[in-house]
Amino acid sequence: METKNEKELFNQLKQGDKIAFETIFNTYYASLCHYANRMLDDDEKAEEIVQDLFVNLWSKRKSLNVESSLKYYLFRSVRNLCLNQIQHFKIREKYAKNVTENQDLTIQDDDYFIEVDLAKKIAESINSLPEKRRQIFKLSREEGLKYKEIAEKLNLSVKTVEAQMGLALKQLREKLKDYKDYFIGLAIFKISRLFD
Amino acid sequence: MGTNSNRSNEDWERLAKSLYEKPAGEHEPKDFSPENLATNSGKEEIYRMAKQIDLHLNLKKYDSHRALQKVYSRINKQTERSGSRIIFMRALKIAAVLLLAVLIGSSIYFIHEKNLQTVATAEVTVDDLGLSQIELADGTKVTLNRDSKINYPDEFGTDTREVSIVGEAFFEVAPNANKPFIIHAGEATIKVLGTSFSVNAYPENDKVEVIVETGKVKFSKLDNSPKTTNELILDPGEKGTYINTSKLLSKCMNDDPNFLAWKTHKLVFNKTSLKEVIKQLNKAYHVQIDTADPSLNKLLLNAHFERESLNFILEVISSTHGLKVVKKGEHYMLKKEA
Repeated sequence: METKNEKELFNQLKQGDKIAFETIFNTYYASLCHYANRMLDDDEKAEEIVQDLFVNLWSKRKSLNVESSLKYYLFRSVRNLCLNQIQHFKIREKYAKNVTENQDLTIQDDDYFIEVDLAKKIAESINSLPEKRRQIFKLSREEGLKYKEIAEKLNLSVKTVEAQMGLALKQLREKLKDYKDYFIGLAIFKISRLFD
Repeated sequence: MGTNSNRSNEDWERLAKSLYEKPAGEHEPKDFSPENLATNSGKEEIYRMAKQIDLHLNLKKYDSHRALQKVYSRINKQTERSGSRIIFMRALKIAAVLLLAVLIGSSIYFIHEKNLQTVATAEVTVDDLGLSQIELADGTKVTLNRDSKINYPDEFGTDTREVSIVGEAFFEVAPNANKPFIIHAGEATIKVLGTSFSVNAYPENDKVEVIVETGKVKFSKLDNSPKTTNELILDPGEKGTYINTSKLLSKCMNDDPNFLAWKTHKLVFNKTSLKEVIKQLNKAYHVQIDTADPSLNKLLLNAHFERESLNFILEVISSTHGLKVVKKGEHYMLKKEA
């Protein structure tokens, strides 16, 4: 994630600049929701929490001080809000323990952020799949259905679903081959982290 | 080590299955040793790609634009509460706020021009949107839209304050109960009676429109025929219309939240069709925007813009609907992204 203008953005935000606010919002909104949803497993609640955060970010902007980075601040706030939420559910002991034990908050960028150009290219690539294949792929990746469930839903054999998913992956890989080095870069980054 | 090209369809099937069919958490590649990296990099790369595709689909679920509107409406509710006193104070200072826009056959205009002195010495400044602001002798402030003219005397007479206008303007009329403020707009006359209001007319329709914000406005016409309504009293939120061709006066509630956008660059779109959005943008930013394909006109937009650049607004629209903007001079064309 680009952070070079983050300080400047933050200063503009403090002065009440709506463009800066919107830039921050558009950069982080979906990623923060995704992060909150991973903790809460509730999309609606996740969005609510992130929206609360941004309403507060605006109203308290003048008194805001961020020592580390804006990104860290936002993710940490969402995490705390989620923990509160979990507490509300009175299942804190069951879930919060795992989360709090993981005190150090590392945000792996490629878990939450996606390059704008890449996102566009992915959308294009998915759209270019033949209709049936695209439908099968989306049921698996968007709806989270198992192959068997997809087969039942579409009245196909599991074998067909398996084959179509393979072809979808192959075709997507072909369409996204320009990003090959980028993906390898992500992989090496992840591996080197494991060896740190 | 299978490169992409020599992987068979069965290989892809197996790969997809190992990526997508195993329970969550199990499909993380286990073999991370550097020796294996070389042989596994193809697989690893595909795994990363698949993960980024999943991430993309995950993030796409969240509608940032809609969410931003929600956040703004909550922020606005907060500020309204703290800002109401200021607005009230301001209302006391300004007796009348009115927007007037007229573009009509110029014959009438010239008749008035003879009766009114044209003076170039008043206080004229240019605001940050490039619009002229004029302060009249009585303290009334007028903001002129582009290609608009106002005629006013150096000093007002003893009984009335009279001006005439061609084009579009926003008036903040200084209070003076003893000297009514009268605006001649083609065949229509607008008289400020109470506190604040606005007037607006669209040239292409050959009509004069008056939109009242607060207070009362008397809207009348030149042609005094006994059979039709010759004057209307307009209350807040009401819009009076005078049609030049039929010479009829009528009123209704104003339903256009963006009637002042040319001055404020504040635009509110609430499930507004792209066709209407473009009409408003063309007017507010003095540009020519078109769609390449009539089917695009039906796309709906929810958005709230406050003093944004046109480029920013077009970017929001195009990213919302997967469009692209082709610019030629002052002319913009919205197209479906290929």
